[in-house]
Amino acid sequence: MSSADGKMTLRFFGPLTDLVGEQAAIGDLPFPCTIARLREILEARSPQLKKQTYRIAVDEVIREETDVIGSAREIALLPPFAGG
Amino acid sequence: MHRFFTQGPVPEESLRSWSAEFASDDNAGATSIFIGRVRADRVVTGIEYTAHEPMAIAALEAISSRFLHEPGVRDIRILHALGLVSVGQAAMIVAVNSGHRQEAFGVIEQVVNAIKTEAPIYGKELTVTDGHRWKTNLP
Repeated sequence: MSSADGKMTLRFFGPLTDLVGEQAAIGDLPFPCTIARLREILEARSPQLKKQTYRIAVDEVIREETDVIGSAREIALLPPFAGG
Repeated sequence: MHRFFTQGPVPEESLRSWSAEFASDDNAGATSIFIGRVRADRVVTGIEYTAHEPMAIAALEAISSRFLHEPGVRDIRILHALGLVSVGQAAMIVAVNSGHRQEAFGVIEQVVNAIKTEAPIYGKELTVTDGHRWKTNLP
């Protein structure tokens, strides 16, 4: 299961875009799952992510590793911020 | 563009209109201004800024409202660039209007630090060799 209408976006930001582009197809995810599990799945699909530091936002909210998510319209991988 | 972002460098003329608005507040006695510019850091020619815009706008709104609750603070303005900003141009301008200088000096530093750590904004530093490196913020 993914989002209610089956459309889900995986977005990358900052230095991650050099490794995997700005956006990717995500395919099915085993919802409900924890953020930690989601990270494992994403890194298995894109091993370039393994050594990177990033937080995961689901539908524009940054989640903790132990949070359980049941669905998502957007998953965003956010490296350390660098504004200013 | 949203009131927190400009496409390209932040126009420093923004300060003129902010200043006029701040001056109309009779209870404000101090205005502090921070302008962050792109520095010619050896090989850097400019910075291309990107953001997760909805999240960054939410973060900047939260920062703004949080510090507006600080005693003495009357108004806060934040403008951050998206897209290309060349060396010498403004990437961010923050202004704080307050009752007294202590709040103006103290809060503006906290607001700038909060923007750097809480808003998902990224800077690709373009270099003279036509390459790039990613900007990192010091703690």
